[in-house]
Amino acid sequence: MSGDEELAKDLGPLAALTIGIGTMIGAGIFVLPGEAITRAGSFAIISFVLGGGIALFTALSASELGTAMPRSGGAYFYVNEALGPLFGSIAGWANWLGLAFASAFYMVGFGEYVVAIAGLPDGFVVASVTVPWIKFIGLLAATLFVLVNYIGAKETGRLQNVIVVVLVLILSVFTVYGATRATPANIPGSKGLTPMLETTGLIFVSYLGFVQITSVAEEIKEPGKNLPRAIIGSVVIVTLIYALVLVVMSAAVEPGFIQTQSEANNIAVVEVARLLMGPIGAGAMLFGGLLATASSANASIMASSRINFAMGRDRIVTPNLNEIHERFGTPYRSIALTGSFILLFIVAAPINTLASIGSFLHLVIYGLLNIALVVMREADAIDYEPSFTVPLYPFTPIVGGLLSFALIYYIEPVPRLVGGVSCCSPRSGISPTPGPRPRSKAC
Amino acid sequence: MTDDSSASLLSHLLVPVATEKDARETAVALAMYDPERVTVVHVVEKGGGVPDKTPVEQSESVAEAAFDAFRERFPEAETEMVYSRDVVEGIVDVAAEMGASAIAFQPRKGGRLEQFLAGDRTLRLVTDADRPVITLPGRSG
Repeated sequence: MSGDEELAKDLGPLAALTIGIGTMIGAGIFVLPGEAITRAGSFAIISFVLGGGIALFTALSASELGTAMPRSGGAYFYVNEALGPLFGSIAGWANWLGLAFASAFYMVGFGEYVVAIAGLPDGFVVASVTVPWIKFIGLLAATLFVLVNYIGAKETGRLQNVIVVVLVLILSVFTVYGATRATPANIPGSKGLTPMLETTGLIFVSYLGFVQITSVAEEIKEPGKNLPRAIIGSVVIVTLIYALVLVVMSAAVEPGFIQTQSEANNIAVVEVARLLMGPIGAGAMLFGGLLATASSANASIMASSRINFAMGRDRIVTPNLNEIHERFGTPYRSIALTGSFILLFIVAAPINTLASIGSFLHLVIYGLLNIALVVMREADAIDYEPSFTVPLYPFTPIVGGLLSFALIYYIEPVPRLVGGVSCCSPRSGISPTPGPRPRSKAC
Repeated sequence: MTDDSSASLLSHLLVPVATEKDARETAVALAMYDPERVTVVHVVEKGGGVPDKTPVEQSESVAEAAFDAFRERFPEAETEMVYSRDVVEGIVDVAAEMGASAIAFQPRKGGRLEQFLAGDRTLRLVTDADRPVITLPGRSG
């Protein structure tokens, strides 16, 4: 049987790493830098580094929890084990809806890229209602990616690895080329600490991917070694890429350029590339933006069905949600429901609100993850034997938890409110059934 | 052992099943032919370097449910769970490993579109197998 168990684990270190990078890189670099620089000036760079720092603390905690409990469901499962069903439900719903909000955000970003490529006007009129093209295309694209996951096309996963490599290449060329044009004199002034922290809250949606690696922990080869490497590695790599791209965007063009482009509703990163490298640069960035937002959404839709499975296992949602399609072999109901959330959110909220709510919900999970780690350590559970342990315990998880919760304070009030309602209220509708929880302990 | 050419076609059947419903229907269809020995197999489709469609734990519970349903008719049936990137390849390999006399299965119905999207496994199994393949009638749909 152990031979079979080994065969079930066929995700190598690179595949695990690209799940994290692929989910994260889409949003951060291709949609938000313009907004971030406009809001925070040169401190936008610090916003991205700070975001990466907060993510790194939680990444360390997630790595330890992941190697101790390589079970499907990731973050939700750890919080549920350590803090019980109330916080487990909060983490589960926050993770699920957080991914749906983030996917909606990615898809609107995808819409922006298509509109920029096709040179479409702002909107079109149907029955005297103006439909914005960006959202319309976002809806179409979301439907497409939900369908792709619904029928379970294996090819998309393989494509994901290629996409991540292409993206890293495009951004490397951009960074290296941009660096030759950079002068410190171009860097805009800062706008102070508070805008910087608020910007960190907005852009934190760029650091949501690493926790999704834990949701496929049971499929990773030698998880004791590869899981921490993939989680921590993906956070470090994307933080580095974000920081370098932001430095180039600030230093290689004249001050005010980004703000002008943002106000003209142009995509900042594309316009910077156009200025530096001509139409080829702009083309590569447009292409990269499409790939990046698509891969983020695709990975998130997959991850949310894993969370649903774990929630169904613990009866936080009905297990019927996880029924597998007779022919496609996919958890089609879960994918369809997540898909309808995504479509609803695209229609309901502007892009920055989607990003902020996605950030908020994930910060809640990250905070809880850090607490879960402390609880597991202090409770001294017999079967808690992580092969990776966080350095500087208890300092690391405590700081990670405090930073995560503190950043929530700086997220704009409206999304914070909506996020709070959406992660806490559904529980009242679906009451967790008490009773024996069917759980086959891994032996 | 059963590779002997004189052995009956039904001496040791390998029966691939997917879900609980599929396993139950297949068992009903097979029962009237009274095979000597039956091994029921569930192939978990692996992503091959990319995440699976379903968590491993869920795949395993689906397999268990399918085996239980099959055993309602064939309490003696042996079971085998296999991980493979390709379901058809997995079935063919297991059949060779255990020296099955034949592979017996019930083709699934489905519209053109579904068949196109999921790939026509019936055709592939029939053409790729290196031993007799028996298709069982009576799929209720």
